[in-house]
Amino acid sequence: MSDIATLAVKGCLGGLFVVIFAALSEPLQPKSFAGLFAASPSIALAALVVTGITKGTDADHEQSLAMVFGAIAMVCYCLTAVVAVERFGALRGSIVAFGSWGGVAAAGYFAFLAH
Amino acid sequence: MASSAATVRRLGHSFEEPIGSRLDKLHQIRVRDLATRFAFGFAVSVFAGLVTLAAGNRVGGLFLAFPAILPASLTLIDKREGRQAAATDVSGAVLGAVALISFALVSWQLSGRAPLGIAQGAAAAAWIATAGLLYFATSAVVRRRHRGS
Repeated sequence: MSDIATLAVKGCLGGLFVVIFAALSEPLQPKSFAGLFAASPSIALAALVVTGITKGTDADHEQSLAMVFGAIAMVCYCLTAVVAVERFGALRGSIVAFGSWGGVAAAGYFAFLAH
Repeated sequence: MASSAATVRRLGHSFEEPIGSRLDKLHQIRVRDLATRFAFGFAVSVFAGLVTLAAGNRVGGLFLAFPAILPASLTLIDKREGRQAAATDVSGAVLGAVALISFALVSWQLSGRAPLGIAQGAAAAAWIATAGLLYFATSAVVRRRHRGS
C-alpha cells in the first residue's frame, strides 16, 4: 500500500473512531464522566492498527513506547486546560494549554527517546 | 484565589453526581458536529502519520496522544452548554489521559509479542478499565471528603 493510501486509511479510521467515542460520551452524565472519552485512544487505535497491518508490529512497539511520553504530556495538557478553559474560554484556553503538551513531550523525547 | 476554590468545589460536585445516561440526547447530536469531529480526527491522524514518515516512529508515536480533538469538543460544549461545562469536561479528560498511559504501556508490551488484534484489544481494554477505576476512585474520595467536612 502506498504512503498516501495508508495516510488516507489512517485518517478515515481515526475520524471514525473519534465520532464513535464522541457519540458514546454524548448521552452520559455527569459531564466529568463523559469527559473521560475526550481523552480516548481513538487516533492511537487507528494509527496502530493500520501501522501494524502495513509495517508490522515492531513499528507499533516503537510508536507505543513514544506514546507513553505523549500520554504523560496529555495529562499535563488536561491539567493546564482545566484552569485555562475556565479563565480564557474553550477555544483560547485549549490552545494555550498546547504549550504544556509540547514542553513535556519534547522533554520526554530528548530525555528518553532521542538516543 | 476565591474563584479557584469555587472551581475546585464545582468540579468536585460533578464527581459526586450519580452516573447515568440520557439517550434522548443522542437525537440532539447534529450531523455538523459529528462532521467537525470526523474532520479533526482525520486531520490529526494524517498529521501524526506525516510526522512518523518524516521523523520516524519515536517522534510520530508522541503524536498518538496529541490533544487535538479536545479543542473541537470543548468549543462545541462551550457553545451549547457554557464555559463551566467545558471546564468540567476537561476535568474528566485528565483521568482519561492518565488511562491513555496504560493504553500505551500495554500496547508497547504486547506489540511484537502478541497478534495485532489481541495487542490493540488488550490496550483498549486497559484504557477502559483504568479510566473507569480512576473515575470511581476519584468519586469515592470526593464523596468521603464532603461527608467528613
